[in-house]
Amino acid sequence: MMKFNHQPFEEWLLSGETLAPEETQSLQEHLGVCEACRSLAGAFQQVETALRNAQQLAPAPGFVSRWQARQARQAARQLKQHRRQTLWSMLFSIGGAMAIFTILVVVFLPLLRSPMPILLALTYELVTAVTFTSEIGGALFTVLRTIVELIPPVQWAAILVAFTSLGAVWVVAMHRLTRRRVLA
Amino acid sequence: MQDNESVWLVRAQRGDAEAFSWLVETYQRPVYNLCYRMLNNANDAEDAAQETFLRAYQAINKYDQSRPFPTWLLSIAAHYCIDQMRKRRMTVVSMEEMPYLEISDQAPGPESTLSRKQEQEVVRRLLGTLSPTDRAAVVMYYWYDFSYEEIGNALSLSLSAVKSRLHRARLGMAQDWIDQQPKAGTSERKQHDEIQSPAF
Repeated sequence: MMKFNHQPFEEWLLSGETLAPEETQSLQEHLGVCEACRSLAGAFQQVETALRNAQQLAPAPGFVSRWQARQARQAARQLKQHRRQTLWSMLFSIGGAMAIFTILVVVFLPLLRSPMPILLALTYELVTAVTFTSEIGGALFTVLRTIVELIPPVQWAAILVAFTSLGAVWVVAMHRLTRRRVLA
Repeated sequence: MQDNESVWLVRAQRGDAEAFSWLVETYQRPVYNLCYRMLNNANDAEDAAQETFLRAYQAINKYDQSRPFPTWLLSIAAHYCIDQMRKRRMTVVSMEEMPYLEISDQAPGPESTLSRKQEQEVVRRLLGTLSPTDRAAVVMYYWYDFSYEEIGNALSLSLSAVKSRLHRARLGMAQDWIDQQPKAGTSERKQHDEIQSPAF
């Protein structure tokens, strides 16, 4: 008994695409001798006809009204849910604030009864910070003045040009990296 | 129609409920038909179609006007129906058990000799052999004339996956058709398959 390799023919039959003339001829020749593919072709044709002839079904009348009613119900439900969430959020916030306030009162109440040591400690910290900042500033100023005296004006100009160029390169690079890419 | 639709879409995206109702009115039939072909039950189809429009209404601001609106809308419907089919095993409902359906008044094809009821039964049986995603692809291809690319976009599939699924679906439906024919044809086909199978 003859054996056929009908894989490409089956694929052509079911592709739903227009075949090249030589493919069509080859398929016709195969269908002439292959009962299985002929049967498949006939069945597929019937299936396609059935699908293409099947009418588009429509919903029962009043679909839009039913949708509007459903949409209104859902909107009302969402509003209710939103209100409930807001209420719970407010309750949690108020509860949390009250809890924090209670903790603060419990912790700091003894200090509030005698505020003098706290005020003295704060004043001391403030004076220390101002003194430290002032000394650091003086040291930096001395270092800068020394550097300025050490480097001649020509070298300063060169440094300025170099930094300006680096800045320009950075700006261009950032612009290229961050600009919106347009797809071809 | 297209310009008119664009106007309604813009209005709907601005939150105009009346404009969206116009879209529901316009697209109720294709959405319902897709849901019905997918779920095979009028009540479920009605529910799915309503849910599709609700989801579309909530996501209308995300709709990109460069895409065709029907593709976007039917994509929502198809995904919802696929989820529904996967969630629960579909129980086959006979045509007699189905609630009232209004069928469009288009004339049947000249070659069609089957009654509408028989046609629906045949289509129901054919689609019933397919997986949810394959069924969605077939419905989009045969009822809405979607291209492979549009089906791919709607179902989040690659072009080759769409072709492969449609091929598998067509083969499955054709074989089911053959199986439904009188016994002689079936046995011939089976005999032939047995003879031919080593050649593949």
